[in-house]
Amino acid sequence: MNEKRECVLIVEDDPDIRSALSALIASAGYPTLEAEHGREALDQLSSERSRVCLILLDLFMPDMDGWAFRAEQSSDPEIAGIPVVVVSADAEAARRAVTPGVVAAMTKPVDFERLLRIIGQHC
Amino acid sequence: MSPRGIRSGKLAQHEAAPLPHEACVPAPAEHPRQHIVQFYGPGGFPADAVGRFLGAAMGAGDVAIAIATPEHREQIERALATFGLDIATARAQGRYLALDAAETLSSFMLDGKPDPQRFEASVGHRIAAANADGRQVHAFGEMVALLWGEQRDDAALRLEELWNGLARTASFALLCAYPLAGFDREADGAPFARICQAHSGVVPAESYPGPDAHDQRLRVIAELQQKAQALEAEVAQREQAEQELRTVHEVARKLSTQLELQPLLQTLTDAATRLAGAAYGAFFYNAPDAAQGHYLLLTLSGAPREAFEALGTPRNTALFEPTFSGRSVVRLADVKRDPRFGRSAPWFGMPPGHLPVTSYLAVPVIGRGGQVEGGLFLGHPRPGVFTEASERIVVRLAAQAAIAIDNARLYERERQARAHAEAASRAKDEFLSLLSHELRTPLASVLGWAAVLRSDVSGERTAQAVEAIERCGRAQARLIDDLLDVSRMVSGRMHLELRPVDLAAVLRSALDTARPAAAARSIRIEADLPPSLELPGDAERLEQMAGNLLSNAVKFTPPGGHIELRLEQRDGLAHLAVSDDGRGISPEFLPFVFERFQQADHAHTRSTRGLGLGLTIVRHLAELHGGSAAVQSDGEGKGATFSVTLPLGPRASDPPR
Repeated sequence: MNEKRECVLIVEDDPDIRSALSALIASAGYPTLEAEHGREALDQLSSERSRVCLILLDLFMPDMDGWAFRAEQSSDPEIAGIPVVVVSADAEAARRAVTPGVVAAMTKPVDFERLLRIIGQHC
Repeated sequence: MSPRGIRSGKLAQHEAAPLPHEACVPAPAEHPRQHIVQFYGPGGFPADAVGRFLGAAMGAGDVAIAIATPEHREQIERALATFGLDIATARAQGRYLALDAAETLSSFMLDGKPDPQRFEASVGHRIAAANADGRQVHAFGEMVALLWGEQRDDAALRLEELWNGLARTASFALLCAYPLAGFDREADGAPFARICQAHSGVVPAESYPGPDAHDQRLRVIAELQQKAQALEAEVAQREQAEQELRTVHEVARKLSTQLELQPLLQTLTDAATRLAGAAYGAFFYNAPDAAQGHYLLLTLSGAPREAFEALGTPRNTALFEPTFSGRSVVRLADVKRDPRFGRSAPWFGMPPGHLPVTSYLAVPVIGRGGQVEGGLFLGHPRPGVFTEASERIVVRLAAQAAIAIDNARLYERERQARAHAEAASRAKDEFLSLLSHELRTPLASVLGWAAVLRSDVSGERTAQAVEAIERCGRAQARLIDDLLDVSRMVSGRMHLELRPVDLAAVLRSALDTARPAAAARSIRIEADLPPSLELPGDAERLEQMAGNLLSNAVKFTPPGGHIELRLEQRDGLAHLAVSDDGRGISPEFLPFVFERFQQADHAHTRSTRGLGLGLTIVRHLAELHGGSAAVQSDGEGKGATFSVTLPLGPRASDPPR
């Protein structure tokens, strides 16, 4: 319970992208959690929310997409404050998804140096 | 307002006439205090008559006074000269006095009205002076006509009264002349009568026989009465025609601003019913049903919809035929007496519950291209309601309506074309955005794993990275291949290498390729294939087709689901079917699954990967092989079956062997 908030939650349906991001972030020294879609991310957060310092969020996902996840997150005060970085292959959708609580929008392929800088600021 | 000015005449053309004996104007000796009014028409100023009136006085040694416009004075003097009177001598002896009408008038007008004292001083004293010499006076005056011409009706009548007042103290005969053109409005009737009343004698403008020709005078009066009657009737007719035109114009204006067909036809039906004096009106839009010859009811006036709904639509019977074929107008005083009535099954007359129609008027509405748009039907329970005039007005309305209907149709067509173009453009935009997304996704993975490799000093992730990079590279290559295939299909550049192929073997190979992806999602694939099934085909393309069907099934089947691949030979055809128990397809989307760029949900969530080209390629490849592709689904959540039928012969078009 008194663990440090240092964990990055990666919400991404493409397994190859998800594991590449996870490997990269881990190699920079941050533990990661992975979720295939919004619903799984909410499940992860219900038990691990105290550890998560940042959420990397894809937008187009089956089951629960990025927008639906944001709506759920915002309505739950326990997790509403966790900063989010939106990551999408659709640049326009990513830009439009920037709302209070979203600290950055990134387009795939991801600029890893910038991603690691942002993680450094929040974790 | 029509001009009332005094027109100049054409007296010069008139023949010289003998002196007073036959003149219409009474001789001064007999009627010294006559106050006559002379009207004149378009023939011009009656200088002849005036000349005779003045000449009679001069000839008798009495005094003539002409108060006229300069032009008319000149005409009067010319007339006097033709009568052989010496004007210069008469003037010198004070027996002829010519005064300017406007000047004299202004000498006694005060505040816009003739002033009695001034009139007395200006005109009265001249007549009194002549009387004092023991002479009679004949005066001709146009001052009243001038006032009348300026529409100062009250001033004119007042001046007439002053003349009459003067006649009580002085002895003279007075002739006034008014152009009839000043009385050409209906409202001029009353003042005209008052002017006539102010005179002791009236001389009409028309040629006027002598006072003794009594019978002839009656004849002229009768002729004039007939003329007046005819004129009044014509005016009434024109007024009605004008009213009709105005109404038609009004409706036409309303129709032309209406681009929606239904309200437009309602406006037309209401107007036609009202203007023709019908009790009910209906417009039947010309929508023939090839099988039954029915017409679609569109708009009604004067009757509730229920009055028609129970009856069904009218059929192309002998009575309706001239209307629906656009051949002619049918106007009947009593429809039930028409030989065409009551000859068609099943009712042989009006169906039970029909509105009571006796008077009947049906007018076709014919469009610009000569096509019959429909028919306007009017009815009334009483016989003989519809006249020639009502027919005329409804025909005019129908012509206006045809133009408006054409316009509404064009507008509708244009709107549909625009909506279609906009939808196509939107679909293209959506596809481009999807394409960009789908091309970036594997790229993101490739670059991500490349970065992992760079930082992975220990090398423990090398194998995983290389495998992912290869997989994503292949996925992207496949995506590009699909795009190029569709592009070839669209431009008709896709060609097949047809050779005898064992389709069963091709399907087994496609199955091997699909299994790993299915296994990764715990989906079981069952296959029911014959040992071999040979047909003419392009092995590579057939495998692509089967692969697309299988990967489509895998994509839309949840983990733990089933997929079944079957191949059988039936009726000289190879039947290939891929069934799944996946998410199924909604009936609304079912017709579009083979369309390009269509994926049931990509606009909303893009929750499934891919461009939605796979099934389009399947159908096209099936057709290139002379076969066809079909889909069947009981709805969402009920799974789907995609089937492809391929001919076993070399070409689909060849007769079966």
